[in-house]
Amino acid sequence: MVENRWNQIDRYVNGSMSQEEQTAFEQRMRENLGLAEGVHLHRDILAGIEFRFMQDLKQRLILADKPERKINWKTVAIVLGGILVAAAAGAAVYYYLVQ
Amino acid sequence: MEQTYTQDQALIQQIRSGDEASLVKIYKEHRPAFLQWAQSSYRIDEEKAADAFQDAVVCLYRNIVQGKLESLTSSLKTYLFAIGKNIIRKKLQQPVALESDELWMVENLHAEPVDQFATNDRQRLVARLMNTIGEPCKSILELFYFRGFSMEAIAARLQYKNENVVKTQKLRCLTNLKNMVRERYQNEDFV
Repeated sequence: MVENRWNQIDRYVNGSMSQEEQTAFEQRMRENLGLAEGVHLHRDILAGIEFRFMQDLKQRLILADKPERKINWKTVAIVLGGILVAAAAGAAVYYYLVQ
Repeated sequence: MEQTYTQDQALIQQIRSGDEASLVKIYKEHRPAFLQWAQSSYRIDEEKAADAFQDAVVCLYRNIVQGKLESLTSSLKTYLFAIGKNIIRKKLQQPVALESDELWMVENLHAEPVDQFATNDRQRLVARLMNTIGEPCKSILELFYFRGFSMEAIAARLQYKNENVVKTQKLRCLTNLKNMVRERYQNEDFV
């Protein structure tokens, strides 16, 4: 029952009612303050939802301003090279001592 | 000039079909020129100019997905700058002269600062409550009310059986939000 009324309010606010249905709905709003408040609340909820997603989109744009962290392949190559040299030297010393 | 409009129109079409990367592309392309222009024209700092431009791009997005901007009568750059100009005018709360074509744009299309969009406490409360509603509500409400997707498109994207299931779920989400708002108002007694 509650959902039916909420659905009607949603259709009214979205402008998807026929002209006849809309006129009758507006007459009911004038007679029923609870219904009028329901429409007001629905409009606030939709505006609040939209506001929130506008804020979220703005945040994503702000993030797009930040420079991407690029991998410095030169540094990676130097570090890996260093590790390989150290490993080779370690292995050479090991074999020398074992023999 | 014609070529530029065609490219701009294609970008608008891509944004309408849900491609946010095209919006970011527009943002990055026009940001430096806008910042330079806004700072020299209105003597505002870089931060304020950037803030106004971000708002202008959000407004552009909203106008595109809500069908308010179907086809361009000027370049996208001119359009964005006109929105940005209006936003700076609103933020500074001072009159800024608008050209006649710019006036048409700001009167017929949404061109307001983001932070001035919510006009009362209840709307701001709903925005905060969006943190607590969880999925799938957040996605459904975003796709329907912000990104302009049809029920059918949402059903396909979120893998629902059909659009009726999405409609029912959307109403359930709105009812939850409504109940949370009413509960908060009763508890905190703020109108």
